[in-house]
Amino acid sequence: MIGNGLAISAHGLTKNYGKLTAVDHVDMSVPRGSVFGLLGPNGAGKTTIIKVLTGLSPITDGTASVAGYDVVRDPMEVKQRVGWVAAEVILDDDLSGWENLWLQAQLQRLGDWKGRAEQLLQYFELTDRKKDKVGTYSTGMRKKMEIALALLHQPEVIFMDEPTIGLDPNVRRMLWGLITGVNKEFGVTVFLTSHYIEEADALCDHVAIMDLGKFVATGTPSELKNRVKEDFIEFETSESMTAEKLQAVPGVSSVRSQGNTWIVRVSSAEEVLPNLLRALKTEGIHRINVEKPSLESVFIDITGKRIEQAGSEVQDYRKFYMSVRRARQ
Amino acid sequence: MSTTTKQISLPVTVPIGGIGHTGQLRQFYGLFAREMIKTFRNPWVIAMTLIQPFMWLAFFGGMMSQLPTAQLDQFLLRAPAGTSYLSFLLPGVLATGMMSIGMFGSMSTIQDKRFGFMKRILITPTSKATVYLSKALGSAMRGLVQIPVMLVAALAFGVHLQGDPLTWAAWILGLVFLGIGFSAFFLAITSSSTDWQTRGSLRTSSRCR
Repeated sequence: MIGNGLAISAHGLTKNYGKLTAVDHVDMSVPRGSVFGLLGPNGAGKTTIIKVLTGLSPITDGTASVAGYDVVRDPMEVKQRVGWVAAEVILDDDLSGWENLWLQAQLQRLGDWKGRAEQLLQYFELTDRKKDKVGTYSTGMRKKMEIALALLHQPEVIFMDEPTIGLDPNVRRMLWGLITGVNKEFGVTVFLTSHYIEEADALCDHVAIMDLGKFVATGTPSELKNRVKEDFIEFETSESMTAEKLQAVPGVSSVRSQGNTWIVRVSSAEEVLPNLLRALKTEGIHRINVEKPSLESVFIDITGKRIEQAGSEVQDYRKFYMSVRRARQ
Repeated sequence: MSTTTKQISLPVTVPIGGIGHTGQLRQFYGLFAREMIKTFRNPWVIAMTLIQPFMWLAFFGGMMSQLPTAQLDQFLLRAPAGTSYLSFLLPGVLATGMMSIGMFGSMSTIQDKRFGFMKRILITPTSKATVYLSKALGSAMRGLVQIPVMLVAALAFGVHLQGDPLTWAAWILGLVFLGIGFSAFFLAITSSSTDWQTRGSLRTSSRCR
């Protein structure tokens, strides 16, 4: 057992799938009792990190420990101390809520688990439906049931992979409340991945921004936001444009481009926007966005692209997959 | 947001209820029971399990009994009087039944992998050997239910069961092993795949991520 007061620590953590490096020399320390958010586009390697930290997938290189145990040396000790909430709700639809809890208790070899199971059902307001098949539950109830399963064996760390993906805003806000509750009332360290900026901002004590398998920035949300004090104006134009022309606009400090999309960094969007519009042919502009200092602007600053934009292809596939799953239910 | 404001006394300490083999036995029991519940809670599965042997004997047996074969003649000549063609067919039907149950049993593993339930199992301290055994025995058990049904069906179609109880016990035990063997064999083939067709095509190259 490694007693360093950290819920999760990793050094040089690397995971390759053949020639593809999904996680590339990642270092991290997650204090016990905190909510740690891994923010990045789909395909950045967030889910892979959860897989290697929970022992589902072997590490290619580097070291990692979770709940004080080395992931490679003591995977069973780690698995006894972690809970997992999947991006797509994974429950046995043919079993009732209580039977799902019973199975989890068997797999975790729990002694007298029924009292805790009843309390979890009460906490998540599922007591009335415990005898019904989970296939008949609503999306929000299924998500709650999954969190109840993850908490049954009193884990020290709970991994939540994109906990609110594909959920409507009401259910998402309800889940945010639950995630904060799980962390505070159950004293569990929460490790969550997300590609929603506002989610990481609202829930997390610490955030790591990830792109192409690497951590590109880490810190508290306010520390990260303080890194970028300027605004970004992003626009798409059919006009042939040069960086020099944009640099000449007063207040523009730097310019980046990707095809027809330009991102200019400015001291104040309110002051620079009128000047910028004068320098552009307005009829050529298809789209214009202003990004005030946020975790999104940190991502733009480092990678030159938006989080949604960076993972758009994978995201479309994911949405399709989710819709197929929902149709099946 | 009502859930966050509610106060209940947590956490209740939950002890570990078994370590080593006791723990493994509980994990095995949990997974095996899940297989049984999923199978026998579905009325269609029960109906098909019971009807299938009858249909086999009635349709396949009925058709094949019209074919004159030398081997069959030999069998019937050596057999006591009153032995029907169905007596000739019965052991074979049961053996192929065990094989098809083995093949279809492995589909539940593929389904668990496809829909991610296998990850839910493997993220707990359950060894892959325990998962394998529970799946193989779960699949075999589904097949074994057909043995008594088949015997009743054979009696209904006029087959006279002969021989001493010990021979019968040995024969049934043989079928049990056959069921477990086929289930384990097809499960081994599908264990590295998520392809529905793997059990037929023996492809093991695709990988579960």
